[in-house]
Amino acid sequence: MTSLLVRLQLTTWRRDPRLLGLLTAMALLLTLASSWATADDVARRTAQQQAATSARAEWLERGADHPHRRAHYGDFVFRPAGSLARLDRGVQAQLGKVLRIEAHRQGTPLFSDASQAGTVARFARPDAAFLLQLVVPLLLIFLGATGLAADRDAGRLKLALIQGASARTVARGHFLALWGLGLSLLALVVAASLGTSTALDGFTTLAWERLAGFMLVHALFLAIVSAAVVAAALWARSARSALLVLLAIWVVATAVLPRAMGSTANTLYPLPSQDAFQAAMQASREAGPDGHNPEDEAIEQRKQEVLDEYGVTSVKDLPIDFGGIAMQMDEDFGNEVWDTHHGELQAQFERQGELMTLAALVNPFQAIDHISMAITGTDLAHDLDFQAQAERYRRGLVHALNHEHAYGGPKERGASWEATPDFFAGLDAFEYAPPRWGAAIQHRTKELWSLVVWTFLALLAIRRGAARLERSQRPC
Amino acid sequence: MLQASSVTRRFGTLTAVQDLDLSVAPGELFCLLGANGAGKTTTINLFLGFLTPDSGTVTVGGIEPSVDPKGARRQLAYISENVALYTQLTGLENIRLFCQMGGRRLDDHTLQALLDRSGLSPAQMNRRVSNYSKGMRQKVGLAIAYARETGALLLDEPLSGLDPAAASDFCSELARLRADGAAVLMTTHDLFRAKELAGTIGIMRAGRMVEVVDASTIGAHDLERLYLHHMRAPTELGSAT
Amino acid sequence: MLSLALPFELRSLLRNRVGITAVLAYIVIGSVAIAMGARHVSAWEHALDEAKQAQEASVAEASGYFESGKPGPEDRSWVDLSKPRWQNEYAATRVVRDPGPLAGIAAGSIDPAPVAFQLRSRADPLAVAGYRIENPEVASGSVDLVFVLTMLTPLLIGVLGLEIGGRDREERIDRLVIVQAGEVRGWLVARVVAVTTIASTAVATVCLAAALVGGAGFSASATLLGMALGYTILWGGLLLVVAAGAPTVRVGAFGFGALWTVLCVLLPATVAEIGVGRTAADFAIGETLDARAQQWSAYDQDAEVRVQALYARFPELQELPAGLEEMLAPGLSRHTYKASQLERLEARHSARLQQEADARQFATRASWLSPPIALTVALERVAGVGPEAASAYRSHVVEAFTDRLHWIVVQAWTLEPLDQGTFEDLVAEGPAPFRWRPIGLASPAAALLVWLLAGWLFAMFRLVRTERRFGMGAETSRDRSS
Repeated sequence: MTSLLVRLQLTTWRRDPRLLGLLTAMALLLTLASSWATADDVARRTAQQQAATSARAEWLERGADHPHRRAHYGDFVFRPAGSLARLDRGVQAQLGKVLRIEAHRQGTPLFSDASQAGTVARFARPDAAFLLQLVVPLLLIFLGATGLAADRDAGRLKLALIQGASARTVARGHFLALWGLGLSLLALVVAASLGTSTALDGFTTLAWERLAGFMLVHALFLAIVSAAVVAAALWARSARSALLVLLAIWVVATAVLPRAMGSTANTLYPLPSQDAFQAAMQASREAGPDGHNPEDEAIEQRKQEVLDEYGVTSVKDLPIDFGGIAMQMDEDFGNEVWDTHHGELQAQFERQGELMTLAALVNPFQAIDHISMAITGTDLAHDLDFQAQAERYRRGLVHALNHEHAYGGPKERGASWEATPDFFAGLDAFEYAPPRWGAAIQHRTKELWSLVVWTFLALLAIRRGAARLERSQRPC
Repeated sequence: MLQASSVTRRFGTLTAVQDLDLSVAPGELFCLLGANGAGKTTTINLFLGFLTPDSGTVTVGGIEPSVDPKGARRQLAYISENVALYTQLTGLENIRLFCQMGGRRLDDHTLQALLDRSGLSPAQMNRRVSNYSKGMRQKVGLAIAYARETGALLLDEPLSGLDPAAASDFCSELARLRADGAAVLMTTHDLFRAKELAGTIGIMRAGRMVEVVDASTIGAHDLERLYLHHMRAPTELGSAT
Repeated sequence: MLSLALPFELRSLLRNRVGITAVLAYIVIGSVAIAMGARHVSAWEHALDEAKQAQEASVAEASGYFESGKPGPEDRSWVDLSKPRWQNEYAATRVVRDPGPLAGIAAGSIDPAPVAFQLRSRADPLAVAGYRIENPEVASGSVDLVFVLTMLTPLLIGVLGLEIGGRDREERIDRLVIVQAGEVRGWLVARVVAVTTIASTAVATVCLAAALVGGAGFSASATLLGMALGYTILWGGLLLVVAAGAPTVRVGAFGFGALWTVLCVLLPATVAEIGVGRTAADFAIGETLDARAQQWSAYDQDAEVRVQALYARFPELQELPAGLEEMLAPGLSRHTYKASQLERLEARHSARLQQEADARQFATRASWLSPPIALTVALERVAGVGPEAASAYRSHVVEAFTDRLHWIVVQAWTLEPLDQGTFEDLVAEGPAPFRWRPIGLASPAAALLVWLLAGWLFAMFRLVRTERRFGMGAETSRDRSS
């Protein structure tokens, strides 16, 4: 009976020229958006790799150099795209793409897509996740309200019940038809992306386990939407009110609630302005050693310790270059200052994130958004992980340079001493290793549970609605 | 007042009304009988100017609705099978609104009197239409028709779905309207009401007026026999409502 | 008809829980957006206050050194306030950017420039982030008035006018209307106008509240109100387009929903895709690797070449004492890099301006595609917040920075030690605050106007066509098929 009802629903969609046109347009839109986003991702990855290669080439081309001079010459780290950014770009457009690596200074990446693209960057971009999370539910709402709910209004449902079909079977048939349609569109999106990937980069950058996770959670989300649509059709007084209620929920859940919660998070857990953050950093920094200040007390104290250690009275007599030690002292203190201030900032980010997670518990649209970004590697957690790895790279690089500054070279070197090109070539370039996908979604377990619970609740609502219908507690 | 001469109206290959001749004088009530698809509603729609005849002439007080629909409608009142009203308004508010649409600004006292005349109690007329039964809606429709004070009244199956008491009240009002000199064209399936109310009865079948009888010359059972005779005869044409 | 329709729609609204909830929700969300905007402006002003305090502290510190006859802090012996470089450092001049009275309405915009920039001689006016530190997962969800007006106004109109046309036809009320009024077109138009008037009242309320909270003048308030009301009337026209042909409420709701989805979601998303996609593969090589290469090659240049480049840029230096000497005076060598520093800055700035001009032109063109884009572009330009205002501010900073470097070099070339008077003059004669003046409003305003006229004209055409197809508008496809 269920399969009969599913087939009936599919036939209805196929035979109504308006619905068929709508479904065809949706399929084309999804294919196009998915392919476009994939091509965009491939181009971005290529450009990122070229930029990183150029940066490395420039690093090597400088040849011999004084280590501290090289520490100020620095490096650039170019943000790689998220593992599965072709399906969900997440917050990538808002994130800076280039991070300057230099001694004494930490910073945030600059040159985000959004900052370069003008006013239009304010609007969301239509990648596969955007369509699956926002537009496909809208389609399912419309089809559901014009399907089961209209059947009820027109009395066809009553006829089916009189003929012996159970309300639960009818509801199941409609649910499976809607979910099946959603899954087909999901499959289409993934197929379009894989097809474009094959044509452009031959899957070389595709994270299969993340892809499977992406499909799984979206399948779950589409099940929630399909079940909610069928449940609304069963519980609402008419097709019109079912449609209105579902559209209102869609608008609130996708447009109003996320923004309202975002604004609330910003109000409850405000972030400092860039100026305030930099000023606080500078104030803390000024309280510690300054590697470039020969009169700095802390540096002077350390100098005395080093002189005592080597049993000499002047830095000129040292077999090492004290400048390198001073620079590392400066660096170590700078790192502490950064860890304190950036740590506070991150803690505030986390508080905001916890509030957004709470919102996601009651709003499956936000839950799927969070999980999808985590799986595709395009959320804030991945950004912070990237920044942390880049900062570790900076510290390692500067430490190596300061060490060479202090201890490298011959004892009798002069001021014009330079480390060899081999030394610089021996310092590794930055290589970003994204977290394993299991770890990536570990902080999204609440949202995952939320999706599971919502699925259960939506299916329960169908079951109750069907039972109620059968008991004729609702007019049909 | 209402005149149709050799009127034909087709929808594609379907002929809804063919060679229809019909005339309703002031103070006359003409009842159209016929099965579903006989062309009764199409005839009403032709008088209302919702449809234009393919051939022949329809006039309302000498005005062709297809040429001057607004002029023709100024002389008409209309009550459909289901009087559709704005459900968020009360009965009184509905009649006020529709009267104002027709260019008549009547005071509340007059409007209440009209509703009262059509059988709606003061408590009912101040309730929202969403809580009305079908009969109550028909009464508001009738009051709107009264308020127009037009010479002609078109009724499209107004008795359908009314309970016997409401139908009886409605028929009494129709009789009063007719007595006041209105030309009334009514479609119905109710042979006995038709016999009771009408001066002239027309039986339509497949778009044709197959019989026109003077109601005073025929008994109710003869009318039923005549009707069934026409309905059971073999058909040559398609049909329309 | 309007005199009938307006009380009718008002009464209907008061008796419709969904409608009244929608109006109240719109006003509440609008108020929240205004409050968020006020918070944004307050944070902006707070950042300016902090910058001002930091500058005052620095000036006070320098004044203390002057008064005690010291060249600078004791633990930094190389600091010498008689030199222009250190006078500039301690003057701590900020190029500030004042918020406009309507800055709050576009608080959710992407604004990649600071609100204050310190004119340090080695600073880079182009390598700066926006003044806000944002959590991207939260920032992308800000409620501002631009969002309320562009996205929620159409929905408000949709909810209020959902049943117009569709319900009349579905329940055949239109027949009674036609018999009573002679035709239905005037009634439908009047109802849509009434609904638009009600929605416009809500829109005007939040716009005037925003103008009042921001303390906007008549011109700015009128522009905001004009744009917002024009947009509301435009959507009234689009509602009429749907109402003109909807045979049922459900079809009408779907039609309007589809129109909203296409115009407010899909088209802006497509435009964003193209606009942002153009920058996706741009890793700012010109501003990073290339700029660094040029900077370091300047360090390797011969001193004579650098001096000639400096004189080529500032010929008047040759007439000053240091310029008249055959050999460059000690301590001036560091200033010889400034010509190439400015040259690089200007080249990067020029490239950035070109990129921003392209983005601006793209946004302006996109305005014609979809009214929400046009209104967003217009309101950001009115508010002085967003990428375009940031770009204009950055140009202002680059100009001030160039002037300041010029001042440093000229003062250095006088070979005279600078005194407290020069310092105080430097502090007093800082660059003027940047104040955004709305520009480029004509194109989005014209786009809105064209959409408005086209919407209403098409709606009227559709109404007339419906009447022609189905007699006087009463016959539906149901009549023909029955």
